[in-house]
Amino acid sequence: MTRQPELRELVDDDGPPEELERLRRVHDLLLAAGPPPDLPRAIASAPSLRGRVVALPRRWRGALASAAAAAVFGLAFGLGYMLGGNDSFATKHRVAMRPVGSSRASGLIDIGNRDAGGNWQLKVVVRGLPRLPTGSWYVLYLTKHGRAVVSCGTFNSSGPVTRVRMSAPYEFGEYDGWVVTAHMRGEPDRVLMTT
Amino acid sequence: MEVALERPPLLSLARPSKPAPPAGEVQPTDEELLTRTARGDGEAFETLYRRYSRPVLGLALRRLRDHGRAEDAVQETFASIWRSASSFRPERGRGGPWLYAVARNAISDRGRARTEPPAEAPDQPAGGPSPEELAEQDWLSWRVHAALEQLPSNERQLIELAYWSELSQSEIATKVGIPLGTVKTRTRSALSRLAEMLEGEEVR
Repeated sequence: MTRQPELRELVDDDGPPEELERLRRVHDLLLAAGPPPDLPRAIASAPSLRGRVVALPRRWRGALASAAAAAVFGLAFGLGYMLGGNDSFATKHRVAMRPVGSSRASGLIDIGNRDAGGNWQLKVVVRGLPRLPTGSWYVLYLTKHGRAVVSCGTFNSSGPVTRVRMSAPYEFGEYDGWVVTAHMRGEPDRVLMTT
Repeated sequence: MEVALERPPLLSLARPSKPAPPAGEVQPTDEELLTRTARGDGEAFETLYRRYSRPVLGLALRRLRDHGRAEDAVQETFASIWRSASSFRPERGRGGPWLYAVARNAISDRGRARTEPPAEAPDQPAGGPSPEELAEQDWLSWRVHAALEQLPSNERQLIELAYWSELSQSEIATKVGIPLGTVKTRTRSALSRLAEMLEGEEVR
């Protein structure tokens, strides 16, 4: 930026002196403030805060956009419903998970009672997660503002359907969703499912 | 899974879906918007986003010096506004400074959460502006950029072209396709509106 405009170029200098002085002050403020930044298209719209997952980090946004959400969501929920809930676990809340990107995994998180220590009991049923190489694992995270912030546990999968029990001490109301990521040595974590 | 962000050139900005209201339309104040947001009014929240997303991004870029983190900070700021709007008390102060404080906190959190080095080394040579001067500059830019977003879109376009495109008024008239006299009239009107808004935003 090499050229700064002169106020007299921008507006005619007619009018009372106090009005011109007022415009001069604004002119000086604009020059001092500098240009506002471009708003990238990725954040051109307000984040959706009514859904379960908001403001996903940049590396996840594209993946989420390509998820075939609705159909798979229904399938996952129905599947999870059939697979879960056939033992003594007292489900208080149920959350379905849908695949992200090219993943075909789906799942269901059942939230049970708190134990004596104050930990929420979780039953996680997932389908379609491939077996990972030795030394790799899946992680179930709670998300806040779309960011994976605390782990509820890790697990591996060896068949078409995997059921695991976990417990978590967190106040779920402070979070906005869950994700399952694959952690593989030497590679960045990949998000495979989200609520 | 990194998403390549398209960066449009200055003045062909990615605008939020709803344009700024036309000239003459009375706009809700920040205080009204925050009060409505606290009640879960999504439209009020979107208006706040249109008004403040660029000022928040500008502040985040100055503080974090990294485009990706700054974008994340914008998202976090507005998530925080949505969550905590009910704590805003109009009787204790105006909405602009409250939003500024929320943005500053969210950006600071983002800075503390940094786990990798910034894209550029901090640029604070000896003899540069003091922290107080930087804070003053942040606040000034915030106020001016927020006021700009409340201008009617045809006036805001002219101000941005006049101040930051290096085009002359005649060139702006040609570019926008309106007479030179109209450019000057609208520019004056815009400056007058900005003066009115900024004179009422002196208290931090």
